[in-house]
Amino acid sequence: MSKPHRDCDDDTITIIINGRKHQLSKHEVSFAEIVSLAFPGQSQGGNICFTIVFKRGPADQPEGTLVEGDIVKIRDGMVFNVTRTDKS
Amino acid sequence: MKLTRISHVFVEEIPASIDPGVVYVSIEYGTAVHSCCCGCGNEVVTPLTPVDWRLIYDGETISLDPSVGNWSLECRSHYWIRRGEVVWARAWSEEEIEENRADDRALKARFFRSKRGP
Ligand SMILES: [Zn+2]
Repeated sequence: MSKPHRDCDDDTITIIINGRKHQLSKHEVSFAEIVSLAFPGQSQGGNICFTIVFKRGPADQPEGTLVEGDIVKIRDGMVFNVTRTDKS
Repeated sequence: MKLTRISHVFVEEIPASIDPGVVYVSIEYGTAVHSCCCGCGNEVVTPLTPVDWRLIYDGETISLDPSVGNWSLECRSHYWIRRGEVVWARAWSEEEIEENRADDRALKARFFRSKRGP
């Protein structure tokens, strides 16, 4: 297992959510955390459907999709795209 | 106010606050973000991935394919962005929306499974 790449200031990892940088001081994030970083103040219940895809992740899971309840390991520069919009 | 036209700007990072009437496109991070064309002010994100939206840039205008269905927003707006024009589309029934969401989940699961290989 390779160690996650780190920034100079020791324990922060920068991830990109919907084209915006976010600094986190941990090595995993949950589906719900990503949604609330993407859409602050947005309630997550009811008829609202979020989808998340990610790329540039750690070697054991460099890309994929997340569903509610998922937790994913992050690395510096990992890119998440989160939407509450349906393509039709 | 419902928009009928929308411009675009190419950026590396999506700005923290965005103006209505503009699609912000980040090729670097594979996403496009705009303020809902109905005027409700909600941010609409259309990821650019093989299983989400395709962006077409003809040198002057952009198009997004397929259409933008904001069933998760209160406004429930539905439109196409085609060559810089906002083409309003019909509302969908709950049934259509649910079926479409199930199809999308299946498509994404299948796509990433097949990329990982056996
Ligand atoms: Zn709207």
